[in-house]
Amino acid sequence: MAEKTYREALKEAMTEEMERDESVLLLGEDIGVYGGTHLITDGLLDMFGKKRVIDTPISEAGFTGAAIGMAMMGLRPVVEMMTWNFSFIAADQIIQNAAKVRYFSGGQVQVPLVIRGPNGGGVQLSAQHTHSLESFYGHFPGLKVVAPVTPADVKGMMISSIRDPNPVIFLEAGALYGTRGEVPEGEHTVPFGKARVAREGSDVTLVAYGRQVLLCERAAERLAEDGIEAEVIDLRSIRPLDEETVIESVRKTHRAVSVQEQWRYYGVSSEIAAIIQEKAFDYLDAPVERVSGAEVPAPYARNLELMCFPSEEQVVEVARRVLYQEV
Amino acid sequence: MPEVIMPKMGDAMEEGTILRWLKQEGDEVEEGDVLAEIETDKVNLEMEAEASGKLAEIIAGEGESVPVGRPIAFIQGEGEEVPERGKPREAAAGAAEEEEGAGAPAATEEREARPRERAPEADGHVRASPLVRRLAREHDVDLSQIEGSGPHGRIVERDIRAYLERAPEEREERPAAPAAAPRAAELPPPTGAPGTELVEPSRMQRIIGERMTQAKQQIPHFYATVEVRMDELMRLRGELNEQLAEEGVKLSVNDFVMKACALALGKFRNLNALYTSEGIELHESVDMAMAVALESGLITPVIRDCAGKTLSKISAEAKDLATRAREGKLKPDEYQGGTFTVSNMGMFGVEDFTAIINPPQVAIVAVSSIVRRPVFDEEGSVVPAQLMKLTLSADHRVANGAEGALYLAEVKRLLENPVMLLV
Repeated sequence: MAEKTYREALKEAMTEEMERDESVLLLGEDIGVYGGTHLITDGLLDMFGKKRVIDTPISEAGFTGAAIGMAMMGLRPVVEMMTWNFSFIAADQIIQNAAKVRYFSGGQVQVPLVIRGPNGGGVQLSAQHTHSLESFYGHFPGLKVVAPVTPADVKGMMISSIRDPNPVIFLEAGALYGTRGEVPEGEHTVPFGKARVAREGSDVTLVAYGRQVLLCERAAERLAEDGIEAEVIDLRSIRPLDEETVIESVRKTHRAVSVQEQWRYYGVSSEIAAIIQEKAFDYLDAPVERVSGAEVPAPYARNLELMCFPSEEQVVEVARRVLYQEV
Repeated sequence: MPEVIMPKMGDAMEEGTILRWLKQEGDEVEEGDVLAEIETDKVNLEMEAEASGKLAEIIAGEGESVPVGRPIAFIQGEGEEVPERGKPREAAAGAAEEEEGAGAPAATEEREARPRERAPEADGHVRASPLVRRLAREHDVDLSQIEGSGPHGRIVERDIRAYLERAPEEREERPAAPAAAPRAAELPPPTGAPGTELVEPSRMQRIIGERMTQAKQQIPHFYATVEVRMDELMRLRGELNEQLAEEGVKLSVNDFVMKACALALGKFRNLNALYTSEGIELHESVDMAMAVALESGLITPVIRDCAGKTLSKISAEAKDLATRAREGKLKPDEYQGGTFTVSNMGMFGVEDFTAIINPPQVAIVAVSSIVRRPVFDEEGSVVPAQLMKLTLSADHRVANGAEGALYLAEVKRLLENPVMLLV
């Protein structure tokens, strides 16, 4: 296995699928000639030509709608949102059409569509460009929502997403495009609805997805210095959600902390906490706690931005709290 | 307003039944007056008032079963008001605390102290994590016995683990639920044939059954039997009882046997021990448990320091304990904490039998009837003799056969030279 960046893994998955299947094509702002704002699609225009790598106008509702139409007619478009924040403009197309056409048509029409782009913050893009939209899109039946964090999972989940006959919301950890990891060569798929145990432990379960998984892994290292063995669960797939892996872990550790970058209320962590109390109530030794972003629009200033996102210290502190080891 | 709550009279007690109220609503009661008779799974008890005042309200009527810690009556002190009927205790306690917070001057010392002290277990509620509650169910642990180290006194996993580790007796007394459950599932269903009747085992019988099953399954028992010549002892007992008749003392054979068993343990300390989670706990004092058959089951009241007591003292205590055991009036500390047991079926004409060890104890002696038989004397002539069999059951994890045999030989020596029991 070769070590690749998150960006390279993403590109490799799309390239391989485009080579394998002629119906796969890319659309988005500046993805062709410019190579993509985040250089994800750099060079693909030369490889596949402008019929399969389409530069679009600045019109998310327009090109997302077009992609939905292509998908309904049997193509497999992969749409790049320059950032997921811009998807609000396309939300009507995504929620009202992409998510529902299959149901409306009684299963006669499928929408094999992938919409991908960087999600979340951490790179000083301020309030309008820092949204984490997993709970927003995760709310709607008819959509699949994934948020991989390792380059290997990025590749595997992108391939699975392109091959899936349903619309997939592919939330990339924008702050991690340059991070490296082992990526399997060639055909490598990661299924939906299957979480990954990023670190095994017996004392407390840290549940996260996307960028926060790395935060939890660092927090687990810190806890290990004091003899606390934290288990880190990387959800990877927000919808469908792998309840079983989470429950199995909590049955072992008896304590859970759910970490998310988004705001506390109505978030994925709240869902995780609810599922744990429903299905592992008799195994809990402490309330399930959430670590979330601060309840404000994201600030621009670096110091404030850092204060607004979950920190390693916070995760360590809350893990200690559910272990009744408050300092 | 002091509440009278259902007291906890033993580790296993979860609820009690009001047998009879000896005071009526409106009666003036003094601290120490007997308020009511209460029945638990083991004994009947007289419950005394802990405060003086008017018995303002009886909440639990006769025949009612009440969980430990729940109020059963109110005693109204001077100037105090009766809380609204049916008002849950928690609410009442909360209200009292609020008043304190607001600095209400009316609060008496008692009011200030009590709600706080008892708040966590007011209405029998204990703060505990769900995991702890599950472990408590599985290990049959009474959570009110455990102090919580979590926020607001919440009992958390480490508290119950620590409790389970330091209370091996508690754990060994009652088997964990999962072990018992599959067994019940394996039992055949009732036949329902004509002439049959289905009877639910009593609570006491169920507990005895569980403990004995556990003892038989988990303790590697070994047995040793000796036959003791009792002629000399019977002669001495007759003499002593004649002398002591005026004082109303009548020594039983069992009194001698208990004394002999206790004295002999001085040389076999291994057998006067408890098998605990952390090892064999040797006891200096022989706290002799004696099995007493009840109509509804069996109980083993304890004669403390049996080796150090005279025969007449042992006799008096044994008689008192047995009488009160049959009346269901023993207190928990009178039937808990034995270190060795004697079970006597001599009065039933039993030739010999073996007893099941009463865990965490490690040995028990089964005493059979005295029978007259011909034996050979030293000259080889056939002579009549009074013989009694003793069978020791001992825990092989603690003692070996030779040790058991030597112990029995010592008991036999003492019983055949009974003056040794008088010194």
